[in-house]
Formats: sequence, structure tokens, C-alpha cells
Amino acid sequence: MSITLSELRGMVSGSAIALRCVTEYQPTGGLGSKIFPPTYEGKKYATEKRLDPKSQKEVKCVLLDSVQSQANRMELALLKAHRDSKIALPLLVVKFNDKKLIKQITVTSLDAPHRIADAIFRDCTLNGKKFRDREVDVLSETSAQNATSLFEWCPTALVFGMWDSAGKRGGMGAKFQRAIVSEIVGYDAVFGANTISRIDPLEIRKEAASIYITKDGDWTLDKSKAENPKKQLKPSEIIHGNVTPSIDLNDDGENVGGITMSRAQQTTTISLAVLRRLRFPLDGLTRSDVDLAAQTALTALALSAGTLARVDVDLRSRCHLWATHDTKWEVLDRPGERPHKFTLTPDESLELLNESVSEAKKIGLPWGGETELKPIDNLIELVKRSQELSPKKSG
Amino acid sequence: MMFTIGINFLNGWYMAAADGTEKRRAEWPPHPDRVFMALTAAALFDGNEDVEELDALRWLESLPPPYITASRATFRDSVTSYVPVNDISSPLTKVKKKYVPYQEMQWSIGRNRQPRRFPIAIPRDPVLYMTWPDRNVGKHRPTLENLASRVTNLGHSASFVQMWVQDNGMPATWMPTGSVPQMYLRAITAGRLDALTQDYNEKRRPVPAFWQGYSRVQEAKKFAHGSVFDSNLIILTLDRGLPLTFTLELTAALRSLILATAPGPLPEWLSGHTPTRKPTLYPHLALFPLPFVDPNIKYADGKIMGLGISLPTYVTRTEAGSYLGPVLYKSNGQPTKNRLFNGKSFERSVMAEDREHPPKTLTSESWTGPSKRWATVTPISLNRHFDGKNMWKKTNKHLIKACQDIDLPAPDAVQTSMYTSLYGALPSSKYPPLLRKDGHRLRHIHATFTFHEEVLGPVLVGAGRFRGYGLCKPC
Repeated sequence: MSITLSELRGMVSGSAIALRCVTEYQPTGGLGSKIFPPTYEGKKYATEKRLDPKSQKEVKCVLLDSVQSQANRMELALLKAHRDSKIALPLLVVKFNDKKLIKQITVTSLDAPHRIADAIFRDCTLNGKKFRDREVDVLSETSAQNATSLFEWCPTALVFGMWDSAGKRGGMGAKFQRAIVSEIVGYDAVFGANTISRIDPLEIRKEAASIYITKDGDWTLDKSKAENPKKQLKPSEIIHGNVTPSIDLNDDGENVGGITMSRAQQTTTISLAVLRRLRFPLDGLTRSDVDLAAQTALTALALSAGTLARVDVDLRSRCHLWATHDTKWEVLDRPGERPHKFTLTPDESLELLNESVSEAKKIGLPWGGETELKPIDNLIELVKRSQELSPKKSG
Repeated sequence: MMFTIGINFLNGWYMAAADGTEKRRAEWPPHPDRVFMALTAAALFDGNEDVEELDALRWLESLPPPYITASRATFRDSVTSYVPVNDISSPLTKVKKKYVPYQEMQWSIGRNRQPRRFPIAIPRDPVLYMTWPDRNVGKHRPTLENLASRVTNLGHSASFVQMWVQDNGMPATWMPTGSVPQMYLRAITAGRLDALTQDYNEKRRPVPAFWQGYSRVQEAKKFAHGSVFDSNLIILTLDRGLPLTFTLELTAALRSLILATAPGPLPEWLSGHTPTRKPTLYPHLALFPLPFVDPNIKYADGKIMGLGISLPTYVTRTEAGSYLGPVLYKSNGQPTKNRLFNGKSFERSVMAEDREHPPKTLTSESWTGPSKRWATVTPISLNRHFDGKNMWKKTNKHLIKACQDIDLPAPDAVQTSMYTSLYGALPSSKYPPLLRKDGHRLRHIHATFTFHEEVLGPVLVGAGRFRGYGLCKPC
């Protein structure tokens, strides 16, 4: 059974503390097929032991997608829905399409690392003035007690959290706690082995020649053209020749060849308590009905984000998961009480969002559209320089 | 009459660092001070001071430390993530005098990424309770209930919680103690609300205030007999292992450390001597090795992983804490890393074991049973030499008395041998002998005791029982 806007509003204004969705997955390759978790410094997996509620035994688990990564995926899922015209989100857009750039880039407030507070937008202009130097700066006066402008320009910042550390106030800039947390963990992880190898169709042999790097970063067999004649490379160092088959190990000598697992579990929690802290004054006045409308719209936005992110869970190469049941959300209310549950399809979540935004607008809340900013010349130049630098010289 | 604050970790985990900015170890259980800080943040979040809320918080800070009901937790591996910072906008960095882009993102605008760790504890049960027994929340209940319902997180902002107030308590797993604790947690103290408000107004990070020792509540053990030694062992971890042959040297070094560091004048149970410098007739502090030995695990290597301290049962925990606390813990509640060395053959560091899941060898339970059958890990020193006819019978009789000397019942059977039945332990011939003051070497021997009923350890018998010889393990 799904949920109506009225019911959602009732949860937000009532005693429910959070909404939570737990979804189980299997690899698309089938039960028992291997998937590849993310690796961290030292090529390690983030492992842990958990009490498996199904078997009541402590089992080895691996983090498949972190809180930060899940937030990025949810934002991208919303961006896709916006691009598909299923929802209309307030969005900052910056297009790096200057002809001198090798590659054209578009950045939005949904994919910039720090959202609307990202330094990219700081270094852009709107109507000829620097975005953060305008008479009314979106972020400078914003706070939990005055979140109206952020609701207008970047409501996702109120859902995913934001810290305006790039502004004039530095570390004391506006801070908004995230209202949604999600992560995916694989249960009963058994570590697999992976081999690394390359068969060279050209059959280039390492004894064939010594390779030298030229002054402009290219390679040569002519020692006289070398930037450093003493430094000789093998063909494998310029990605030619065979690579002897070996087992992929991390810095601790452990296999990092993926895992098999009994299941993956994604847990997404939306904190209504966080959203209830926000206030949305209009013309300097705070009203409870206005606050409720905004908080309800933000809850619907969070529900959409969590639901849309479950549509295609393709986390990385060789880590594609498939949900084994419908998306069901629980309403966490009084401690110890059995949670009420509701299902929500992606289309239903978008419908709920659109309806709640419409209600918010009716009550007077502003809901912006797409706003295009222009990057300043210095920023374009920096991007140009980084694109021009050869990858061989990086790091 | 009691009241309890309940906390449910909604994500099933708790993210907070136990080691400050290092962020390599996750905190578990949460400190009571964190709960107070969360309630204060909820009260003052919108900048408006509600008199009733401040009154309720001042009342809460006046209370003694709560006991805690928390399940055991496991911990996620401490891995490093690289997260983009926002206060530097240049996509370039200098590497060997050349500007190169930072790690590329999908649109070739590099960004400085800094290493970050996110320590996480995963409790078996995501619901935890802090209980103040003998306290009636009274008129503050509706205010505290309302405040608790507005708390969003504990620790990191991603660590969502639901918090509430209830009248009934739950069985404690951690109790505040004035004795030698197993862990120190940041407590709530009078004046904490004002201190937090001042820190906030002056834009300072709050500093930890008072540290309160907590001990895990042991499950009631059914046993027929205990010995003169307290079964609540104090466990210390060595940074690197040592062979069992170093037992006497290690315990001597530990004893020297304790005597040098404990506040004086030293009581008899600690020094082992009377005020007139004669050996005490009463049981005193026992120090012993904790090696990886086992009746069933064939790969047990016998390496000493830590040291155990057992107090005589007549010493109160509070008195013990006043002498041993300063040796083992810093003023901020963190375990002290002490140096153990003898100037010639070894140097190690040792600190109080406070991990949520220490190795089995470094747990009280491994050494206290209860059990009917006990085998020696280190040999029993005999302060009498037996020979002639009936030598073994006399030795056995001596060993039976040794058990009775530590208030254990006479065992039904005693088997003696050069060897012990524990994997990893060494034959008695490998151990250096205990020396008397006159230089006389005491003979020693391994033994296995079988009692009529279960006895509670630690079982330390023979002349070297205060120095690590005659240590037995359930088998």
C-alpha cells in the first residue's frame, strides 16, 4: 500500500522520528556470483562482523557502498529524473563550453562535491556579478532558522547536508546536517581471487629495446633524444608487452578478487527529526503551516531520492545488484512499537514530490528553477591548464 | 524508583571516534557526556533558551553517573577515504616543481582530497539504555521527554538516533566504579551545561570534562569454591609477545613498575611486605603471564600476550583503584603505555586492555573458568624437596596442600609430570628456577588437578604463585 500526501504530512507533523527502507539484493549474475566491493587505501575492503538477524550468528560483512557514495548516487538519480522532465528541481548549472577547452563540461548543484556551497559556484557569476558577492547572497544569511532561500535555490542541500566553508565566514559558514543516510553491506562475505594478466598481440618482448622519455613527454628508442638518458624504461612501462599472470593482492597480501555473499542489504534512513528543526520564514515571519509544507516537500524529496536510487543499483564494474523485493518504507514512531509500512514505486515517489512542491508553492514558498551561472575567466583558465597537462606528468 | 534514557541507533551502527582526531577506533559504548551534549544541542539548537529545559539539564548534570545497558559491538575496519575539500578551489597541485591536476573527476576539474576515517561500531542490539537508579525524574519528565525526542544524532551527524525517557531500567552491563575500571567514559558533571554554552559562544570545540571508570558486569558464576584471588582480573596487553621462559623477569618488571608508580605509602597487599620489611603472611597481589596456550588448539604458540593482575579477595576494589588507577590510567581516562624492561634481555610496553573484543587469551573468562580440571601453564615451584621412597606420593600430598593454601578444596586427583597437557606451554625443564634469598634453587613441576566440583580461578599454586609460577588454566 502506498502513501498519500496527507499521510506524509501527518507523519512529518506527528511523532514519527524517521522513515527507513531496508532492501535486499542479489548479484545480477545470480546467487553465488562474485561482486567487487570498493577498495580503500592499501587496496583494502572495509570489512566488519555483524550479527545476522536471519541466522542470529555473527558473520563477516563487507561495505559495498558507503554513506558518501550513496548520497552521490541519490543526487544523480534526482538529476536524471529532472533531466527526464519527471520533476522540476531548483538547480544551479555551470557550463564550461569555452572553445579553448579540450573537453566541454557541465556541473550542477547535484553533482558538485559540496552542492550549492561548492567553490565552483563561488567562482561563477550571475547576471554579471560574482554569485557570492551579490546584494543578497543565498548562503550568507541562511541558517536552520532561516532556510527559505536554500529551499528556493537548492532544497537537496537541506536533505543531503551542506557546509558553506568556502564563503566569507570560512569554517563558521552555514551548516546543515544531512537528513538522509544510506549504505549497502554484503553479508557472509567470502573473499575471492582475481588474476591480472595481458597477452600482447604484437608479442613485444622486454629485451627488445630500452625506452627513453623525451622532453615533451613522449617516448623514443633514441637515447640522444632522451630527457634523462640514464633513465631507461621497459616496454611494459609504456603499456606494451605481456603482463605475467598474477593474483591481485592488497598491501597486506590479502586477496582482493571480489567476494561472494549470501545477500546485500541497503539501509536508508530519513530523519524527520532533522527536517523538523528547519524553519522557513516568509517576509520575516515564521508560520507553522509554512514550515510543515516545506518539511513535507523535503521529506518527499528524500523519499524520491532513496526510491529512485534503488532503480538500477550498478555500483561499479562487476558490482551490479538486483533487488529481491519491492521498496518498502517503515515509519519509526514510538519506541518498541511495530513500524507501519508502505510501498513506494519510483513513479509514486515522484508524484508525491510534485504534489508536495505544488502545495508548498501554493502556501507561498519559493521553488526556483534552473539557474545558469557563468564561470569566471580564472576558473576557465585553470580548467584549461589541467586539461592540457599530459596524464603522464600527473601525480 | 529510577529513570532511563533509551537510545536506538536507527542505521544499526554508531559513528564516533574513541581516540579523538586519530579516528582509528570507534567508541563503544557511547559516553554519557555525549548524550548530555546531544540533549543540550537539542535544547539550544534554535538559539532560544527555554527555562524549563535548562532546569532539566541542570538537574541531569547533578546526578551521579548512570549505569549502562549495551550489547557487545563489533567494529568496521578502519579504512581511509579521500574526500574533496571545499576551501581550496585550484584543481592543480605542485609535484616536484610541476603543476599537475589532482585526481581527476569525471569533468577534469581536479579537487584536493584529504584522507578521512569514519570509525563505526556495530552493536549486536542497536538499542542502548542509560539508567539512573534511585532517581525520580519527577517534574522534569515531560521536558526531558520532549528534549530527547528532538535529538537527531549521537556522535557523527550520520549516526541517526531515536532517544526517549522511560521509568524502568534494564539489567546493567557497565557499572560506574571507583576501583580499577575496565574502561573510562566521559561523564556528566555539575557545571557541564554552562561549560558547553561558554565553549559554543566562544566558538571552541567542547573539551572532555570528567572521566568516570566503568567495569563490565560479570555474569553470576555458579561455583563451589573460589580461591584467595579475586576472579575479576586486571588484564594488561603487551605490545609484542615473549616466550614463557621470560615469566619471572616480566612479572618482576611489572612489580617494579607498580611499586615505583603507585602512590605511597604502599599497603601490605601491594608490596608483599609488612611495615617492618618482612614478607607478609597474607595473600598479596599476584602477577602472572597470559600466554596463548590451549588444551585443544594445536597451533597455540605459548607466546605471552599480556599480563594478569589478581588482587586478594579481602582488598576492596575502591582501595585497589586508588593505588593501581594512577599506574594504569592517565588523568584523561586513557590507558597509560608503560615501559617494562629489565636492562638486559627485553623491553616491552604494556597497557590496560580495553578493547571491546580482545583475544580470548586476554580475557578473565579464559583464566577463571569455573572448571573441575586445571592444568599448569607455568610449573609449580616446590618449597620442599622430596626424594626417596614415596617421593611422588609426598609430592602429590604437597600439591594438594598447595591448593588448600589458596582456599581451594583438596583436589580428587593430582597428576604430575615434566610436561603439561596444554598446547603451547613448555616442559618444566625449560623454565628458569625460582631462587630463594639464599640462592637455593626451588624445584618445579607440572601438574593437572581434578576437583570434585567446579572451582573458580585464577588458580595460582606453589611458592611462586605471586610471581607467575604455578599458573593453571581450565582444561
